Amino acid sequence: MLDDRLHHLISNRFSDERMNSWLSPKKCAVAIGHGLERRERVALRWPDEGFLLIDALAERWQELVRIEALEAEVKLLKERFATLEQLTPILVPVETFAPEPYEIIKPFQVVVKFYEDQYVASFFDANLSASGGTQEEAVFNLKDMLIEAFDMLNEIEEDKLGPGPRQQKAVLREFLARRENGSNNKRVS
Amino acid sequence: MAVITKELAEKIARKLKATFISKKEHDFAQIYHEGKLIAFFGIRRGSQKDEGHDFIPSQIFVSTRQAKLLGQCPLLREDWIQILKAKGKI
Repeated sequence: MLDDRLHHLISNRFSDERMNSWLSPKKCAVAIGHGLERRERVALRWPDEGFLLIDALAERWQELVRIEALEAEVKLLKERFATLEQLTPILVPVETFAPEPYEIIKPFQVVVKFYEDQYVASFFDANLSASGGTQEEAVFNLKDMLIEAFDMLNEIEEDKLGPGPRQQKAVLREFLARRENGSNNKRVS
Repeated sequence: MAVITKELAEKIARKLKATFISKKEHDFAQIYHEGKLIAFFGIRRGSQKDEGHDFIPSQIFVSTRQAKLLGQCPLLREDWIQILKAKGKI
């Protein structure tokens, strides 16, 4: 009964529609239970001292509602930030193919981006890419792809290559070379 | 969910009448036209059949949609050759 009267009184004092909808009798009871100190509850002598306490309660209630709204907003922003972070392409420098017997003639960067639940690492100049479950895996797979494509293209005579593969071969030769054996740096082109 | 899965990549390779060269980590699908290698792409060996190979379209010089059509039949090898000719890749 007290809850109903409280609700009615607060609804009259605060015309904000949202406030009204939040202040159902049940919520008022919960708010009284949680929002007021024991001392305050004891002091509630309805209706003489009621208004003061109702104002305090309403203030606390508004504060709680505001905090809840802010929490929801922060959660949403965090999720959006995580998504953006995941979708933003990153540049990864490639400086070695160790332990594979290949060397970098000129360091280069590969682009890693998130696409359809996987990471795709690309070396655009050579039009070569590889995917992986993580950024590291995608780069690792691309490095494998680069040296294997390099070997494969070197096995094919120049006049048997179309414009695309010929360009890919030229780019790869500009950036990497195979060592004659694993221990020295003699290049084989 | 990947658009071009390993399974679809293999279908595309078959559709383009690719020859396969095996390397340590990848099987390379090589596509020849009039005796020349005009495109190639790698399929990671040992990967799951639904693993993504969404990078393949760019390596065969088509859009993802066209690559999907290649794997799923409506687009023929001859159509693909025409696309490459138009792009100056042959």
